[in-house]
Amino acid sequence: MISSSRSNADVLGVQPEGDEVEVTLFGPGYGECVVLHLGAGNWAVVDSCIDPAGEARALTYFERLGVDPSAVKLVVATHWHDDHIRGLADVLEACGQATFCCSAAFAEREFLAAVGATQNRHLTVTGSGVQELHRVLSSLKRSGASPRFAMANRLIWAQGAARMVALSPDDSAFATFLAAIAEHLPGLGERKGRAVALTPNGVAVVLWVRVSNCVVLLGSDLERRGWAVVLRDRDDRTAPASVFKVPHHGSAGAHEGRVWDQMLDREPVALVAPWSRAGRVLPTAVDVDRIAAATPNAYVTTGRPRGGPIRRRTAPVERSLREAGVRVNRVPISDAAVRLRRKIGRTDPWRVELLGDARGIERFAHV
Amino acid sequence: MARLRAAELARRSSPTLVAQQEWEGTVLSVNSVDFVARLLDITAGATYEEEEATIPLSDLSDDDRAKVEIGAVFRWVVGYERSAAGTRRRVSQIVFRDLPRVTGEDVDRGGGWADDLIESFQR
Repeated sequence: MISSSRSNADVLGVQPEGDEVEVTLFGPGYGECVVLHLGAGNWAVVDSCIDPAGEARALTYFERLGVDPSAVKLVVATHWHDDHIRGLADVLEACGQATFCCSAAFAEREFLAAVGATQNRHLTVTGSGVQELHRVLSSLKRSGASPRFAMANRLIWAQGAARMVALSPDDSAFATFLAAIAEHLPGLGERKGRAVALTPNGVAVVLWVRVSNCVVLLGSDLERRGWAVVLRDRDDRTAPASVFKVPHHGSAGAHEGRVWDQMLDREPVALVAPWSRAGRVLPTAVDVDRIAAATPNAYVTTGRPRGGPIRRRTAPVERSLREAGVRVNRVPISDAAVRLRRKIGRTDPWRVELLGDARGIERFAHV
Repeated sequence: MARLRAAELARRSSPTLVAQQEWEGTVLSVNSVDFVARLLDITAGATYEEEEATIPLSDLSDDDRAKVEIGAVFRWVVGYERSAAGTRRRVSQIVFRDLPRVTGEDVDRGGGWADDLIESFQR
């Protein structure tokens, strides 16, 4: 079993060495973002979430580390859900040298036309994942930059000993995706509600990252059917990973046992970003047991979300809420993260640092 | 002058709503009893949605109940109403926005945006 340490604020701001790989999973309780150091000062950001101040977490982390965002070579949007895309446009704008990578499904005209048709600046004060995507793509168009479209077994980025390969989506997921888009985004004559749908996850981009002997599998939110295709079609050269970002917040629907048997080392470091919405929390107690049984090195970025409002209101307001039978609960947003570092080419295990409320998965309490 | 006086009288005789707490909400899920919404605290000047609420459908007017669907947007004001006679009454008022529908113009604009984007990506 790999030992972990709790890091304080001073340690958080220490950059990795040039010959170290870093994998940091930010998971404030709703949303996730992975920051990768691929050696030699090359960084990548996969998905985006915000910090308690509402800023893109990856950017505040780089600021803390003293890393110039121009060192970011790649920004990846694995899929279009609100919890993976908040702050992404700001990340891309700040990381001016980075190539933007997204699912090849986003290049489908039908999808883009639906996104373009449903834009409405005055719909809500805050945006949605679809609006964030519209901002990102519009900004790329203005700058004349082309995205790198991820598809199964496509090389996304390579430099020296570092390679990043997409393992999904495959062609067969596209038709399902477009059908789901037709269902979730309003068509002609339908109301422009805010897109908050949970599905589809079928075209999520799974990434296999290798820097010499450090191999990482980032599972995005890909669900079981998608994993079956990944297992069927993957390139034989994809060596087993010693780090696994568990897909879809550890949910049963994204669990495929053969991934653990065939695509991972024995007892890998498994990272889970919890999720909560409308009273539903992932991972469930059953998910926690399953993941803990698969590896003793499993971590969650934060504890189970606490109930109750984010701030106290005046007594008359509290009374009105009680009388109306309304329960208000906070959406969890914290600085929590799990950070892994390992020297390239050495056999030492990953060094695990728990930041904020991060902990071993067995301590993710369920009530 | 007479018109001004009439307006002043009308203002004094109609109840005034004093907001103590204001949220903008988006519906995440709905069932036959209540709905769950994500809330942006307008009063606190929040920049992102920090809270969720489970709200009974019985708190809504019949008209608003028909508008509750996933993605629907509403304004929620909690405060008190002061009557012309000076009495105060606590109120919790949820009003759903009558969201615009996708028009042919929206569809054309979306298609044009998509075509421009695809063309720029192929350069």
